[in-house]
Amino acid sequence: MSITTENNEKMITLMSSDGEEFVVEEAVAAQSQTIKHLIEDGCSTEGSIPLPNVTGRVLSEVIQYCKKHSSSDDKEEKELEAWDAEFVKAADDHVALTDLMMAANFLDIKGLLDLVAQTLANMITGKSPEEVRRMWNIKNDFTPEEAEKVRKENQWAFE
Amino acid sequence: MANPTLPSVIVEEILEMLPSKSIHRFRQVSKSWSSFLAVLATEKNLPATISDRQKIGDIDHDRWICACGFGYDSVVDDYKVFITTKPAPNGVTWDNPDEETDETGGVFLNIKFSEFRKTIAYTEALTSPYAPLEIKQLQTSVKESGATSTQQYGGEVEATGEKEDMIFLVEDEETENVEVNHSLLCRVLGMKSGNPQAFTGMMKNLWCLAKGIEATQITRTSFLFQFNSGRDVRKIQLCKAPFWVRIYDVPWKARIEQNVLPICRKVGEYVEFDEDGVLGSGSFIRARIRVNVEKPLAKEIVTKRANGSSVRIYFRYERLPNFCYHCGRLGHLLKDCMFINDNDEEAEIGIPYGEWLRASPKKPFRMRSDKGSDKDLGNQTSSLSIASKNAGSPYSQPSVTRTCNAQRKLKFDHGPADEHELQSLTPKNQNILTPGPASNHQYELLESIHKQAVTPSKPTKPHTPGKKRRSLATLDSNLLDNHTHPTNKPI
Repeated sequence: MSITTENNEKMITLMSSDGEEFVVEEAVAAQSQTIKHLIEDGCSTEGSIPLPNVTGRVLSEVIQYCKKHSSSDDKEEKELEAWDAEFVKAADDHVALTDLMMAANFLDIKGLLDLVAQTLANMITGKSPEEVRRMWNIKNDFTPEEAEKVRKENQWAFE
Repeated sequence: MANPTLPSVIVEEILEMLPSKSIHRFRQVSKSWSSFLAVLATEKNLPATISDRQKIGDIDHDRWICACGFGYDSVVDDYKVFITTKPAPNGVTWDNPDEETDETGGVFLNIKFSEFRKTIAYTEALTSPYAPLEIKQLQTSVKESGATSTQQYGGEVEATGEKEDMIFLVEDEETENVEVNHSLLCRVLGMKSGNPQAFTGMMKNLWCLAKGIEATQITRTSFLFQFNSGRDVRKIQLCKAPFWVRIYDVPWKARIEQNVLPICRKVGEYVEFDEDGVLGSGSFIRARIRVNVEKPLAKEIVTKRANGSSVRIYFRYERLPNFCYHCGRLGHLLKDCMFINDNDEEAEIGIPYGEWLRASPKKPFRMRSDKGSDKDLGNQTSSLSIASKNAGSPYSQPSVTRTCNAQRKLKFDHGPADEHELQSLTPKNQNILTPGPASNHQYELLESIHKQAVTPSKPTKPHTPGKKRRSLATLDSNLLDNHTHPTNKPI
């Protein structure tokens, strides 16, 4: 379903995995390479675009990001950076950020992906390997011997 | 909320954003992380794990363990290299270098990793079981010079890496392998434009080993010498080079071994006196002394006579290669000296060393018995390179002697020459080499000097530029002076 507004802007409807619908301008939605390709392929004309991997909560954040970045010019770069910082700060914890990152990955929004990846990287930098494993339920698949070997090899990395 | 799981694509996105410092630490998280981070470390040109690190310099360090650790220095945001003469014990960390240094006898070198890659293929730390004395000396000198702060030492390493032409030898004592046991790993510092084939050939000639040596070039400046007999290794000295030293102003009455030997020891390790013995000839005594090239050269000492008056005794060195007029160490020139403190007032007032520390070669025209001249040949050829090794008596070929003298003068007239001088440290007489052909104009000058010496009334060659001609004139008069009065060198 596509609606044309008074600005002659084409509107796109996105549907999240939990059934929420978001109507956004095409320019905003097209920041996602995935959606852009779907539009080019003509999927949008037949109704809302289903995004089965993205929940409504995350999608609203993504759209917030896309709106900001589609409306801003290059000269406002500094302001945009500050906004980005606030944006990821609002996401609060690594769970929300991970969701956001997965959405960004699925929707193929390069800017958002980098932003969140950097935030997460900064977040884990000061953490121990064990803490990192717990953050993302990573299974420690090293045998004790292997673990010891790797630990020794990388010993100096612990200051 | 349950912790999320991460698809590998996203993991990689995150890990790529990690600061280099954390990359290795997170290799412990899981196997997939480990393998990805290993790739990432390579891409970022970081030091990888220990096993990867040992391959630095394209050599199998399993056999040559000497660089055993890297550390991240957050102050300078770079990796540092830890070098020890033994394999490092587990748990070596960068933070308490002193403790570990004591325990292992290792040497810490505070080198930026980027610099390490660039200038130091691998370390100059020694582990040769054949030369424990020299090792100790080297270590001491490393510690001494690094005493002020490790940071400064780092700077030094870079400087030496660029300029000094010293050969360091590395040997592994761990392995049972005979081949390895009888091998030496050498690196020629500052060999930017050297000819590797010429170098290895030269070293083989210099060592003159009965059973021969296999030389392999490992990197551009690194060479592996494999000796066929373990005894051969013992022949090679590490930081001492013998020089003929002239000891001036020893009172006649005091010229007995009991007095002169302690004086020699101030300079280095006494080897022998020349044929004139302890009495010397005229104003000086000539002694062959093994000088530690890592230490400043001795200039003079003050002695006390029986009657209470003090006598200043001067040392002059024959065939002295380039040395620093500031710190008096061989192997670098004043402009490259790393012992110069910028705030040092002394540096502006005057430099403590000078060209005068060199003695001109010994009395080339003095008449002498055949027996004496044979011995003299060995001394004279010390910097003449192998080409003249088979030449006859220096008196039958005066041009050879003169050429050498002229070259030295030339250097003096034009300020410090920046030619490469390879210094090999061997117990043999030919301890200094001046490899490579002289530059064209040098050659030209030498030629005309020779002409002049034969027919002194003729003017210099017309095509010699004016400036050079002038220096040539001085050169020539010096040269002739030296030949007529070999001992008139100002003290």
